[in-house]
Amino acid sequence: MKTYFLIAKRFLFPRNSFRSNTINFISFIGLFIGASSIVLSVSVLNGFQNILQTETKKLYGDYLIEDLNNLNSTIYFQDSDFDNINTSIFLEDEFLIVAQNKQHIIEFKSVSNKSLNEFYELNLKENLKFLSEDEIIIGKSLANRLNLEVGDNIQLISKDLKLNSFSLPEIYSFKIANIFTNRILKADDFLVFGVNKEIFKKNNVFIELNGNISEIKNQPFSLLSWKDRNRQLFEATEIEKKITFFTLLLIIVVASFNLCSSIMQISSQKIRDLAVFSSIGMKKNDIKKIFIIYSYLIGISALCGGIIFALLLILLQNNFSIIKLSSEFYLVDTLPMQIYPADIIWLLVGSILLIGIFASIPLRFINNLSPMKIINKQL
Amino acid sequence: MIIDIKKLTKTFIDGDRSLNVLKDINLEIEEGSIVTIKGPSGSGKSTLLSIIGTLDNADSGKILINGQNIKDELNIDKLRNKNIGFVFQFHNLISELTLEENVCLPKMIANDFINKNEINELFEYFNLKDRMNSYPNDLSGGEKQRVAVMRAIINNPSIIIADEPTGNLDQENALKMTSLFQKLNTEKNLTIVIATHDENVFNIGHKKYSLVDGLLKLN
Repeated sequence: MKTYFLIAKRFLFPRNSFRSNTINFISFIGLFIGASSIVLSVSVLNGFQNILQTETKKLYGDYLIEDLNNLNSTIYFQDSDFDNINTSIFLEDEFLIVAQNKQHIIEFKSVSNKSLNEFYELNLKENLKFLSEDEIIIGKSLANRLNLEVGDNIQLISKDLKLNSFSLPEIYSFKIANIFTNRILKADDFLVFGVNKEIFKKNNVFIELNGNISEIKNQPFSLLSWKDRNRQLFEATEIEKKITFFTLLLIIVVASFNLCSSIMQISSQKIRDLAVFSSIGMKKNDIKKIFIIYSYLIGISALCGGIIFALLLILLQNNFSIIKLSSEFYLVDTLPMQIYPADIIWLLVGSILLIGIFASIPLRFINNLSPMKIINKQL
Repeated sequence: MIIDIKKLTKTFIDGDRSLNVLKDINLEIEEGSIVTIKGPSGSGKSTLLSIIGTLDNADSGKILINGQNIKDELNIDKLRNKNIGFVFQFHNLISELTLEENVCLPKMIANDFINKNEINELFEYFNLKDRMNSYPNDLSGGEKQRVAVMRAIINNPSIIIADEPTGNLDQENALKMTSLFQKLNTEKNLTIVIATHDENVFNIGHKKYSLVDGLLKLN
């Protein structure tokens, strides 16, 4: 192997051959650009995917249990530890909010003061204090839509229009205690937090559950994590990442074609040398090995160079925030970039396979190599 | 008998035409002898040498090298690497490798141990000791051909096959090369088969053959 490596290395930097060096350089650059493009693009998609998940978890990081016997019966609780659930049930339903002669459908999420302080991250306008039963927290967009400020009063009406004993719709009055900002899934346009649970009682929709997950597991309930509840969204981002990866892998395919033509060119230039190798006892498969090593010397150095270059850019961006974004639109003020070892491994495995396939195509002619004819023709 | 050829034939097909290049060739070469073959261009000298050198196959006939039929040899590349050294009309050195690497190439291919002292002695024997780390393009034509001979003998083969070894050399270097073959034959007991147009080279043969119209005749 040492011999083939030595010859491949020397062929890579032929003496006084500007043309060969240029061809090699072009192949190198193609693969370099392909590798760095993939790493950079995937890192940006990873970055936004993480932002999406982090921001979603801040508001929707709770678990949901559905009663399989009664699909109308639903309880919610939050915890990330399945085996030791510190049950803090929240209740959720749709209501109509009425304020300043305007109405809007909202999702009222009744939680505990403890979970408001310890579990949710609401990015509040004012310091968080304990909410009373008649206080709520609304989102910034909703506040803007309804011209509401902290301290204003609003009314909630059940969307089912439950009637009271006077045959009038049940109306609940609340005071706005705080305003949160979180634009994920347009949450601050419809999500309202409170601690009041009385307004749900008439619906008779929710059951209470205490205990740990082992009890829940034995019950006819299905347990849905926040990821399960937003599965379509997260799957869409994952598919987007995969499509981007495979689309950009086409750059590697094109660069591999270039490498293929580079090998064709070099091997035809070196045909007499190959015939000499054969005449001094080198097997044809071993001659092929030289060009496979040659391809991988270009390919792996270009891939590693491209990956290292991209990682340096990611490092610079994460430390110095070179590319800035408008947080109004993107939830973050700098371009998020994150790359995982698995992404690099996939890139290397895919590229190495492609390079191997494309490098071996032009080498089939070596099977028909006729050393004496080539040497005597003095090509 | 180091080489024993019986009824060897070779035909080339060129479109509708078939060309009998070698017709029932019989040739016996003794160990340590020099055999020279001459003939007009296209007479089949190189084809005969490439078949003896296991680089090409005959259509029919039998070739025994050291008593072994080469058709039965499973690892023909190894047999060529260990037993046969080639010298061509052009030096055919690898321009990207140093002279030392060029010379050691057959040993490297065979994965044999490279004895540095042995290599130094060889370069000294060929008066190229101070050029070991040079590249082929830095040498004159005669020097390149001497390096090609060094590469041919590095694995101590029993047979050297030389196809027009002086064809690309001036008269002075051609004479030096001729003397070198004689010296190698005498001092290292090498069997040398040479195809040539050069009368001076042809005359060093212990047995001299002419190849005309596909038939080999002893002169």
